[in-house]
Amino acid sequence: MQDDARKKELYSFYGTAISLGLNMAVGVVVFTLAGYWLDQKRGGGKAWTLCGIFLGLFYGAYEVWKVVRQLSKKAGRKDEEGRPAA
Amino acid sequence: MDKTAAVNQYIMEEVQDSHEWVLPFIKVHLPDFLSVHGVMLILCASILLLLFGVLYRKKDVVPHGLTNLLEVFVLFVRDQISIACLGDKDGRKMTPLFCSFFFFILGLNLMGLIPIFRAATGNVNVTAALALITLGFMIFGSIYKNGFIGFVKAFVPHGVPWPLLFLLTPIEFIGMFIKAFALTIRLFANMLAGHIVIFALLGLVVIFGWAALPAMALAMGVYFLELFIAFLQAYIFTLLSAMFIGQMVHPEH
Amino acid sequence: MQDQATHATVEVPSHNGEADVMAISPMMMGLTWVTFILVTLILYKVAWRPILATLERREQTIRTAQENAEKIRLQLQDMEEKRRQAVADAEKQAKEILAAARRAAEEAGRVIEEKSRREAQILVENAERDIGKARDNAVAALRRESAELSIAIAGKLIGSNLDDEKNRSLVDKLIGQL
Repeated sequence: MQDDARKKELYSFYGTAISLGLNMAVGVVVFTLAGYWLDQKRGGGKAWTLCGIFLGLFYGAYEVWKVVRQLSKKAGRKDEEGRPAA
Repeated sequence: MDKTAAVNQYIMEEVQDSHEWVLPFIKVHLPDFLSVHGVMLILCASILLLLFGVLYRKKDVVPHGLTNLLEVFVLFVRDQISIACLGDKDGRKMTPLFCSFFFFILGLNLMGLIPIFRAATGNVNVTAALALITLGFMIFGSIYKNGFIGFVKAFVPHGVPWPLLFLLTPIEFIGMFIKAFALTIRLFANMLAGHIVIFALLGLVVIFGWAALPAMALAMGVYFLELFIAFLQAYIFTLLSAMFIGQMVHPEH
Repeated sequence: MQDQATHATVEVPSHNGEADVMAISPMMMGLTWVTFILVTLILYKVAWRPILATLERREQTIRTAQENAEKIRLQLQDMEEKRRQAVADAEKQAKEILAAARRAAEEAGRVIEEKSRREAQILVENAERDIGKARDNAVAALRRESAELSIAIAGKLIGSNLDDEKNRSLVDKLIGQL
């Protein structure tokens, strides 16, 4: 059962790593396009497009942060596992 | 320049959806409701039905040949994708869906590598439709499993200071659609790009004549790479679908 | 692959075919859905469920077989253990029996030896006593004989009867001095 959970976590991590790059790119594009669409609707201007770009970048950074957190959590657990043996 | 333009046009015709299916000696005109990629979809579906309905022998106690090969894939999808991402109970229940995903996409990918056929997975509408099915399972699976409140809670990230939640929760929500969109683009772009690369390499021979013959060897290499990528992308699409559904159905604990 | 992906999406619009590869076609999406859902439903009935059931059954069979094998192995081990135990027991018993028999035999031998020694001793003592008695008898008889002989000789010599008590003691004294 514990093995199962670990496997699940590992696959989840691999999947996140695989999908990270394109997720970031698509995130930036989607947020930017949404901003552009808002700008068009408001009648010109660049403010929302810019906002969208930054939100998209923020989304990318957030995704990276999640992966890093997962990694450090795993590293921390490995330390804990290692301690009693050492 | 003229040749280049012709090659460009040929490549675009080859990878794009159309209502004209160019076979070696004839051009088949298809009706409005059915494009070449649509034909590919139906062909792939028929092949799958033939493969699993007729050729697969369920009665074998010890599987041989084709039965064995198909079983290996089914087992792989069940153990390495479905159960790995969704846990034992839900994983077993959801395996049929992921088997369908895997074999359907694999079939379409591989058919795209047969010269007279085209890659339906290189059509963004096909991959979008498949990704929307995943998205539907992500949303309604989560609501069905955890209730609407649980569905909303799945977007609240853990371990961040609470003022950030007002920003991160909507971003997580949009992130779900971005993930599905990325799923669409990944499969579509990979298949499309692979085919464009092969055709472009072959096009070099048309443009530069015999001098570009080594490009044929490279095209062969890319073809085999595509063969591998056909499997890889089918696997990745299925794995990510299972993973996203798993993340929505069993939110982070 | 990511490189190729971006390459494709960037390059495609610059071609003559415009951005047609990204064109949304509801017809195509609908067709995909219909095909995929139909395939999934039919294959669920025809293939996935039976295949998965078969796989699970086979796994169950294998698991049962493995469990049985393990059980049999344990039983064999148990039997082997019991057999070894029985052999060890038998050996121990045999040893005990042998030891007991040896002890009994030694005891019996000791008893017999003791008894025979005692009997021999008795025999020797009897013999010694008999010999002693015979010698005494002989000595007594000799003494009486010699006394009577002496008296007879003396009577003949002195012509008188020395048969009385007083003479006899005198003669005895004489013999004792001999």
